[in-house]
Amino acid sequence: MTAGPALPCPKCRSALGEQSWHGTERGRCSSCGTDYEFIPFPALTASRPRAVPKSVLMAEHATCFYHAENQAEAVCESCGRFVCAICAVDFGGRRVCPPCIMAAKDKDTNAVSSRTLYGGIALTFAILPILFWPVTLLTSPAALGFVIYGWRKPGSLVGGGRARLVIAGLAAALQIVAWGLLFVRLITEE
Amino acid sequence: MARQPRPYKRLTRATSSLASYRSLWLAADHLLVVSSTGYSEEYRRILLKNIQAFFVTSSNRKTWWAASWAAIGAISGLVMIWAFVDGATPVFSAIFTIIAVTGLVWNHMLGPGCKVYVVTGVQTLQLPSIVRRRRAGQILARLEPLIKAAQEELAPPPVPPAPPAAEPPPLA
Repeated sequence: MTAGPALPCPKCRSALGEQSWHGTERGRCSSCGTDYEFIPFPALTASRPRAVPKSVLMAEHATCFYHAENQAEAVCESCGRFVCAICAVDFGGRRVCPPCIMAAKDKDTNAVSSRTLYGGIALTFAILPILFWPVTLLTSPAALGFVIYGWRKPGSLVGGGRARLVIAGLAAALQIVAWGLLFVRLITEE
Repeated sequence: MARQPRPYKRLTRATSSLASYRSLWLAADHLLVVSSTGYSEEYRRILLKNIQAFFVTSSNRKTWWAASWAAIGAISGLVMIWAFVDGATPVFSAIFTIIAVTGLVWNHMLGPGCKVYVVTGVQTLQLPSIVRRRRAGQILARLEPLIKAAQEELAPPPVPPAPPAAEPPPLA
């Protein structure tokens, strides 16, 4: 049996108290009466080694780029700066400094926090206005614009591809052609 | 050119909430909670090595869905019977009744509802796409060995078996 930290009840957030977590457990929150199943893992009771920086003792010691009082203990694998134990962060299998993580936020798939789905936007502009077809005169070029703009933008992290963009592009192109034919016919009839 | 393997494998189908869909995906070293509106997606990552525990609690999801389908089925069934009595052919109400009965059976087959929470050192986060107990069991059974493997260096070393007691010297 290993003692674990006091965890909050997932429902009422009141502390469940320090317990002996051992294997799969069942329990009941004394505050809200919620029954729960509990599946613990080694990280619950393990103590992780804390990053403790070393102070600069000699003038020859290389110092951290961000903390002049700390010894450099690693090199950022992204920008090459010397960093101390605090600034060297394990990120996607590499040791990098926090500013490089921030810089990678929009590019690195391990850091990106949101993505705009241009396929969904274009498809809405291409399909939904068909119900109120006169507005397609405006929305179909807009849909085509979103298709062109979004074609080279990164899409969803979890798939989807460009199928929506292709369908939206085809639908928008058809509507534009239809409007073109209608205008040609109106002009030639006059 | 060979296609790159996809980094994420789907763990749950998208579950809809008020204005978004949530789904859960598995990568080599983390879980990805995706919240999508159809126009944008937001991502939350939970590293397998940081997962301390899962909580599973019951929810009333099955009851609420059963009540909703039963209400729709009862209303459309009454309308259908009424139309029959009047000598009409109740096409729409029959369709609604069939849909409601199918939904009721489907909901029963999915099993009881649940909520799953993942505990890390800094937060307790609900996994909103896991809503049925049976599916939760399958997903957690799949995740358990992966999480344990990711936390291998944290696990306490196995206690070596006690050496066999030495034979006492024969008495002279």
